[in-house]
Order: sequence, then C-alpha cells, then structure tokens
Amino acid sequence: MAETLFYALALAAVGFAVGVISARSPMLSVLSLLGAFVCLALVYLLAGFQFLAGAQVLVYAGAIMVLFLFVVMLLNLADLSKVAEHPTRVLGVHRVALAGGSAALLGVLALLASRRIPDTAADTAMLARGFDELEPIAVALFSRYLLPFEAASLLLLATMVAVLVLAKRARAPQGPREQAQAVDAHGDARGDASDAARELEGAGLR
Amino acid sequence: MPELPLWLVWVIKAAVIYGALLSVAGLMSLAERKVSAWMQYRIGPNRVGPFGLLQPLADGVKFMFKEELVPAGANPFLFRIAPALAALPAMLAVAVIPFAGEIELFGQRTTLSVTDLPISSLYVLAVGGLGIYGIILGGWSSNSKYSLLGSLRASAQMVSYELSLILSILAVVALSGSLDLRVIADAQQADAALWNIARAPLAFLLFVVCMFAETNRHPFDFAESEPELVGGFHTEYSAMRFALFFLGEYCAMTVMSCLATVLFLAGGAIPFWPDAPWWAELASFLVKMSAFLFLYLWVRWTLPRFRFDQLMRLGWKVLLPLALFNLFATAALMAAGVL
Amino acid sequence: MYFDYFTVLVFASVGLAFVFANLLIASVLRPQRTQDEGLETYECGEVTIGEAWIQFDIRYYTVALVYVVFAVEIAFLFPWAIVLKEAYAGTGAGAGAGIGIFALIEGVIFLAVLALGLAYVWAKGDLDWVLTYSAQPYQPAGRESSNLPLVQELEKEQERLAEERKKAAAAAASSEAAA
Repeated sequence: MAETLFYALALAAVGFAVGVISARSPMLSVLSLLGAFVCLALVYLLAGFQFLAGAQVLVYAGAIMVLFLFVVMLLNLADLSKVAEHPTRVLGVHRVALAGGSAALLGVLALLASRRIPDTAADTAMLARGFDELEPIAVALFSRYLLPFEAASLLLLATMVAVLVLAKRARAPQGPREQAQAVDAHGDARGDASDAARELEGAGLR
Repeated sequence: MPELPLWLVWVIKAAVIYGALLSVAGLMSLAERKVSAWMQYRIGPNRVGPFGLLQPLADGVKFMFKEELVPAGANPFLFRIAPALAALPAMLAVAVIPFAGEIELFGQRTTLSVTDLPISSLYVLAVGGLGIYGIILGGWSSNSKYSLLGSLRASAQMVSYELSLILSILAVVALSGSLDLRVIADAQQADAALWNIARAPLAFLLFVVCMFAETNRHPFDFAESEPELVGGFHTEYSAMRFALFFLGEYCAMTVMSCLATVLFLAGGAIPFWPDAPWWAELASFLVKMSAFLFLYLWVRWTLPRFRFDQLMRLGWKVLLPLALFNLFATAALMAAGVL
Repeated sequence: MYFDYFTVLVFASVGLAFVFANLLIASVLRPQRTQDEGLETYECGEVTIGEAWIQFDIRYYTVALVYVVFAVEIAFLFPWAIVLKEAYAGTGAGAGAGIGIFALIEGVIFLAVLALGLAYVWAKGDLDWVLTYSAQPYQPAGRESSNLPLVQELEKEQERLAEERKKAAAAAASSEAAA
C-alpha cells in the first residue's frame, strides 16, 4: 500500500517537474512547481517526517509566490513571444542544458545501479517505525546542532541582505532620500531602472 | 444497535463536518446581508423562507442557472481552475479543528473532529495558506487590469500579515508545548488553568488583526476593494465559479474563527463546568466561533478601509516587531515562572 | 498512525468531488450563448486598451522575497517553541540534557538575528510603501503642465502648517498669561 502510494507520488512529482520546464505559459510552470512541491511533501509524510512535510508546504508556498510575482513583474509576456520568434537565439542554451541534464541523469542512474537496491522488508520496517516526534528534533537543535542552528539564522540574514541588494538593481529608487541620490547620480529619477533594462538588453533578453 | 466499523463511523463524521461547514458558510452569506441591513436600519433579505433563512439555497440554485462568461483575452485553463483552488484549501483546513471531546457514535468512541494530527496547527497554516493561489491565479488569468491589481495586492498583503499570524500562534504553542490543537485546547481547560486569551493577550490581539487581513476582509479587503477595483480579483467571474470564490472566503473566515476559538478561548470548554458533556462543549464551541464571525461583520461596518501604504506600514512596522517582542516576552516570562 | 493522514486524504477527495460536481452540474444546467459582448474585458464600459499582462511594480516582489526569508527562519522556531516548556521544567525528551534556561538564550539570539534582518530592511526603506516613485510631478501626456504636487511636498506643507498652528497657539497662551 505504502509502496504503491510512494510510486504514484514520485511519478506525479516527476510529471509536475517535467511540466515546469515544458509548459508554454510561465504561470503554468510555476503552478506545476507548486504541484511538485506538494507531492514531495506527501513523500516526506509517507516516510514519516510529518513536521518536514508541513514546513515544506508552508515555506515553499511563499517561495512559489515569489516566482509568481517574478513572472508578473520581470517577465514581459510580449518579450517572451519575441524570444519564441527567434529560436536560434536560445537554441545554443538548449543544447548545453540538454547535454548537461542528460549527463547528470546518466550519472545518477549509474550510481543507483552500482548500489544494492534495498529490499522491501527494510522499507516496510522504516514505515512501521511511524512518525517522527518533534521534541527530539528540538533537543538536537539545542545540543548537537546548536552551532548550525545559529549559523542558519546568520546565513538567512545574509540571504536577505543579498536579496534586497539584487532586487534594488532592477528597481526605481524609492523614498525622498533615494530619489535625491538617483537624481544626483544620473540626472534622471529612473536611472536604476533603465540601467537594469540596459543590462537585460546586453544579456539578449529584450 | 450493532457496532459499525471504524471507517464507516469516520465517513459519517466527515460528511457531518462537511455539511456543517457548508451550512455555516451559507448562513454566513445570509448573516452578512442581514447584519449589514440591521446596521444600516434596513430589513435585509426576508422573502425566501422564514426570516429569509432559505436565501442561501435560493442563491445557490440561481448560481447554477447563470451564464458563465470567460473573457476572450483570459487564459482559459487557469481561469477555470482558479476558483476551485481558492475554495478547496479553506475547506480542507477544517479537518483538524477539534470541535468537542470524545463521543460515543454507533458503539465506537471517537473524537468530534475529522482527525487529530500531532502537527495540526502547522497543517492549518500550511493548507490554509495555499488558498492565496486561487485568488492570485484568478486575478492574473482574467487578463484585466482590475483583477491583476487585486491579486497583486492580495499577494503582498497576505505575506505581510502571515508572518505576524504565525509568530502569534508560536507564542501559544510555546505556552502549551504542543502543535496539536486538541492538546492546546485541553491544556486551557485543566484545573486552575487560565485561557490563553488571559495568558497571552498581546498574541490574541495580533491574531485577531492578522485574521482579518488573511481572509481579505474589511478593513483589509484590498483584493476586492469595490470603489477602486470594481470587484478586484473576481471582476471577470460569474455564475458558479464566482460562487466558489465566495464559498472559499466564508470557509476561510470560519476556519480562522475556529482557530481563534481553539487557540485562545479553550475550544469548547465552559468555565466552572469541567466535565461538560460533548453536546454542551459543541454548543459552547459554536457560540464562541459565531462571536468571531459576528466580529467580522461588526468591524466591516465600523472601520473604514485602510490605504494600501497604511496597510503595509501596519503589517511590517507595527505588527511584526510586536509579534517578535511578544514571542520573546512569552519565552522570558515562562522562564521566570510567571506563565 | 497513517490512518490519521489517510482520513485527511479521503476528506480532501470528498471536497474535490464536491467542488467539481458543482461545476459539472452548473455546466450542464446553465445557458450557453455566444455573444461577443460577453467576451470583453470589463472596464466599466470603456473599450479595453492593451493587455493587463504588463510589467508591474517591483515592490510587490521585494516584499515577497523578504517574506520567504522570514518564513524559513520562523520554520526553525517551531521546534524551539514546542520544547520550551519541557526544557524549563527539565522533563520530556530533553530530560537530563540540561537545556533549561539555555533554550531561552538560544531562542533569543535567533530572534535577535531575525529582528536585525527586519531592522536592515526597515533602515533601507524597503518597507516604505511610498505613493509615488517619480521625483517629477505626474505629467499627463498632451497637456502643457500639471500642478499636482508630490505627496512628500503635501506632507511637508501639512507639517509646516501644524508647526505654525502650534506656534500661534503657544504665542496666544503666553500673551494670555502675560495679560
């Protein structure tokens, strides 16, 4: 029963993942990503990691929202259709991606083939173990993994700073102070935005 | 009476809880109009059934027979599935709400909730949080400026208030030492235990404010905002799909009210009656839940809508620092042995 | 064990069936007309100009990015909150580990880093949802000039007026006292 469910979920997750890269509408691929994450959360649940499953849905729901907004904010659908008109421009990228992806897949398959596939009895034993409890996770955080726990918070702080710095490059200045700075620097309040646009042009995206 | 198998008991329970949820949502749509009418010195719907009680049924039938319009510029697939995505998460989130204690049902002892999970409060947050996608996709797929603006506002608003919501719940979780909603409710009705509303008043205040923002209700209803955006994210929707958006909204309100009842008002507990029978507990739960639902309507006709920059300022610069402080204060007071 | 989640699964399928059954029944019952008016985008009677799928303000995106980082940090706080009570009492899974007040300190450090992040975003002005980006006043196309002031200018003007009123009130009060 659990095995059938696992294979069904794994298949669905792979299906959604293929949807992410093959959907024509960027919004559909974002939605497929949501489906893939939900399937993964269910796989975690099946393996007994209920907290992980809940946290996965909670956190990735927000992450997907970011991707959604990314589609709305930064991708111009009219521009995307232009890309489609000139497939030669992206064809080279496709080839590289295809070669890299195939190599990675072959590597994983070879690795799997070289190992002994665990027998079903062991799997069932893992399932019979039941769900993990939350207290041991917390206790581990306080004792053995104390440093990684605090380091994670600092890492996330760094992430936030980086995110804002990167996002600002593509954003018009806001607030009186920044506006004044931008006017000083470029003689044009929208200097930052046009810089970002120029960068995009350079990258061949517009 | 012969004993029924456990799975059948469970199916009956699920059917009853779905029925109850949909009835509450339907009654809420009537109450919204009735209470609004009373507050404006009008009568409100009173033609269909006594006191207009059958109005929700009549509305449902009408929605069934209405023509459905899909704008030519819309993304048809996303436009069609968005309402289901908005309605389902709110309906599923109710699965872990503990309405009352154990009952004897056809020879099986069972608790009055669909299920009790050890991580039930995380479940409500995670599953309920998915409801935003219906709103966002509905607004985006319509290819209408009003709709897109509504869904963009909904996205920014919901993420801004979700953080404070989770942090206020975490304070309660710390007090009870469990993520299980039933454990949280039971801990408050133990002997000489105070309800969480008295132990964590700031968390309660934060929760109630965020509860309004998370369900897109006044004074935070920027996703719809009729005077500016016509109907916001559902401007282009009609017939049954429009009804599903509303079903989702009312279910979300119901779930939030249930959550507030469990987290801060001890679920179905009745003061000075520690071993109340299950029906008394259920009645008490429903009374508390209805009080929160009434609060939604009361606030709607009391407060004006915020401006969007005010909304963001309140969420990030007032509620979030307060929520962080609240969690810290709760932990410190617990260490000092006060709580 | 799995039964708890299995019940949720069945509950979900019943909900799914309910929603799609409603849509199916409605699709059978409702009238199907094909009039061009129904296909138009609703804009209060105006003819729609262009698509709605255009680039939008990046502020929404920034807010969502900050949210994700915070959400990940808060996910770490869940286990901390659960075990806090037992850690103080020295019971449960952490019994004998000698966690106690240590849990509080560790949690407070974590919360402080969170607050530091918030302070950074705040100081950088990413939480300000200003009403206009443009340093120039709004200039509608085809018009000579518009006299619409900036929001900042309006606010400054209001502050100045309030200041003046305060001064006038103080002056009146002092002259009254002198009299």
